[in-house]
Amino acid sequence: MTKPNSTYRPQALSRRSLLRTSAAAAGGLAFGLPSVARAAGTSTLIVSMAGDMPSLDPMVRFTANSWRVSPNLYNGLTRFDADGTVQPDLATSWEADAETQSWTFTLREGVLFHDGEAFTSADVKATFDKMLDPETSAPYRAEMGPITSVDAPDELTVIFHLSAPFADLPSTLATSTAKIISARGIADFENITVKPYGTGPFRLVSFTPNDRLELEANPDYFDGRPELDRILIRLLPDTTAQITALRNKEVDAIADLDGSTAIDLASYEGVEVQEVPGGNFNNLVLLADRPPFSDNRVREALKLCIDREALADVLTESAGVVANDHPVSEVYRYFDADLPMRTPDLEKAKALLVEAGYPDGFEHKIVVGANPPAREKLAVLVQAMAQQIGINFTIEKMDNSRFLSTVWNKGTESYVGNYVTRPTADLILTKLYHAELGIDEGRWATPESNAILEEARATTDEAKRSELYAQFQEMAKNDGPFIISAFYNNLAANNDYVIGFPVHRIGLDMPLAKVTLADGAPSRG
Amino acid sequence: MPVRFFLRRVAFGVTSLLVLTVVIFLCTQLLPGDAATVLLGDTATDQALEEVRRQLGLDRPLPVQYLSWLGNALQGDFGRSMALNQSVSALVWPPFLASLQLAGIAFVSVAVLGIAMGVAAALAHGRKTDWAVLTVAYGGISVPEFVLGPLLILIFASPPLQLLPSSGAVSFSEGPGDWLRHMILPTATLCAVLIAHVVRQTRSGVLAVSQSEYIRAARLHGLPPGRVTLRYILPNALTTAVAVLALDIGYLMGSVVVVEQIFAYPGLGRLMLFSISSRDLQLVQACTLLIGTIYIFANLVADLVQGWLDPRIAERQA
Repeated sequence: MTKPNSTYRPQALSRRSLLRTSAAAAGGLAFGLPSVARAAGTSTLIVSMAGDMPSLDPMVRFTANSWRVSPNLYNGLTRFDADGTVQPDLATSWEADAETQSWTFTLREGVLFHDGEAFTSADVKATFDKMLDPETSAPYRAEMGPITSVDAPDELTVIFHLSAPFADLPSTLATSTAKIISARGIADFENITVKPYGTGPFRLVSFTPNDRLELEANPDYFDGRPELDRILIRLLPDTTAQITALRNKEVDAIADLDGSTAIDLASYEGVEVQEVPGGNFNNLVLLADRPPFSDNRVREALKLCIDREALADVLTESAGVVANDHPVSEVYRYFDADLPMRTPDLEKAKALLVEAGYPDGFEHKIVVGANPPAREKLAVLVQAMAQQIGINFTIEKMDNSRFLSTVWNKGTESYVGNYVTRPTADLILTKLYHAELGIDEGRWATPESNAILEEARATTDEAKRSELYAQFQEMAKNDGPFIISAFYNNLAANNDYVIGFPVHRIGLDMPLAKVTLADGAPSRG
Repeated sequence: MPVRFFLRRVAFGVTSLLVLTVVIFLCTQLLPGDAATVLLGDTATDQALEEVRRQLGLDRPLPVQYLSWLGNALQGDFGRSMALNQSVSALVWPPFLASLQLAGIAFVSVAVLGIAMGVAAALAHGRKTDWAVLTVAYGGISVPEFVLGPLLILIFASPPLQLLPSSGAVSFSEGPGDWLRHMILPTATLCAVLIAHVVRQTRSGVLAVSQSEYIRAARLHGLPPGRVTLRYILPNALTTAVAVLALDIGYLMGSVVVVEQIFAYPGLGRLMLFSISSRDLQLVQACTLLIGTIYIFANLVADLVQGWLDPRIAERQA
């Protein structure tokens, strides 16, 4: 396991801080620069993405790329800033009742949809009525929280009624799947995949599914007209084509990168690689309801033989941080930085296996889906590390669809899961560990563990929540059913004339309203 | 041209298409997972899956699903894409036309260049030109598209040369020059892989024919060499090359999928990849039908051209 170019990360860091400074400087110059840029022609930003973008639907039919794009076409009631803090968006303020069972949001006045109609509480109600309708099958409906209904008592007020106390509603409403669609858009929902009905800073010019998307500045945007006149999103699936296009200034930025491409790009002059911590991870699932992993000594033995540093470095291609067998990364509010990182201890691991009745180790199978390739990498590396204590893993690889429909969350086999950052620590913990509210992926939940999660999500008492989530992280680390060795950093790259290209810690949002182009940008009449 | 020969070929083609739709339908059933599992991903619960399946009509018995699809398709309605929730016909046409341009240019280039190179090699049999042509042709066939494509991007589109755009496409109406520049690298990649087949067949065909009795007789009669080549050698030598060209269309359509992915070319290949990975039954069926139709049509044309080049073939088959 060789370490890739070790000068890369400090370099990227200094670039990033440099970028912040220059962004601030550009902010100061905002009165001078854009007029110059505009005089020279329209300012167009071209962003490339890999992967598919079949649809612009923010609610039901979306992909990662639709999420990236949606903050430009739509607004939510709230939004995340780059650091992952909740900010007002279409709502200006909000508060919960004493039991946290209903939330009241006050809406922004004077906001217009792209079709010129005014934004009101009726649009919010229409959006959430649609999402809550089981017929809609909105995939992330459950992850919005236990919403039962939405009321619109007057034009600028909405009330969310909940079936259980839920403190994180302002955060979950900040996600890309909770964008507000106009009541007319809800009525025309069958065209929502190609026709956006939003209030966002950019309006649709043209969209060819899975190929290109062109947007233009919305002059009536409530937060002021964006600096950019136009945005073009191009889908370039091939890495070589992507890198070449960036270097040739055929595109100005790449919205998603893997670690090795980032290392490659960082070596080119005029290219800035941006890297911020994230929360995506792969977990090796050790089913706790059947041997051999029903015995926590066996789970702990395996956790102890993992060389986390090495594993994290290879998995994330040097663009990630070490994880501690629980899914809460530093980007979440209730991350417990004081929980000590587990270090490898082979002697202790062997002793635990003997105690558990496996003096000669055992054989076990891990199933991996073919995508992303990190699933297989993780399995292969764990296989090599576990051999040291006599656990012999065999690896079975299969097509992703087959994996998802026959292995994932069936509770029958060990496999490697793949999860993206959720809006809150509560959502990822509840999803993976709670027996009723989530999937209890490791078949591990107990009434006690469920109770901790329920109590933590119900209270708005910050100190209490911190304490409960810290307790849960420790439990998950010491007793939990997953090996989680790394969190992936979020990466993007842009040519140095692009100022303020966003990379968020939480979620995939790529809001381009504040991006500007400096001297050196190619002129695109 | 015998009409019976033509009609038999068409009837055969239509039957093949029908069989194709059944096979594709069964294949998509054999693949694990369906549009519902792909749509819901890691948010799937059994209840949600059932709901989505019901909405997409995936809960109906298989023969019912197939027959209702076929009934609509025969009336020109290919349904709505499950993944995109848009009319399949509207989704398929623009990429189809884009692919047709790409594959069409590649095919014509392969035909013209391949035959020209093959004839040149045969006429220079055993000499330097022959050797050079074969080296180039075999070089092309030995490098797969997924290597050659990025290689061409690195050489011709990257600094320092930067002669051509690295990827993407613009429509002909936006500017013929720009359109052509975007076409060159993908077309070149496609040609490189296919041209060896045609060169080889043409070369051996020309060699075989030029050693035949009647060509020797023509030469002994003192006919000029150019006339001998064009009037007597080529028509007889090309029948095999035409057959190979028709087969190459199948190969070409496979390569188009890879090349479109590398060069981000918005064609049918990319759409098809997407439709399969999202288990979008309607879209898969429509894409396959289109490609199947082209393949069968190409073979029909090849049969007719062969019959025209060598009337004995058509007579035998009629």
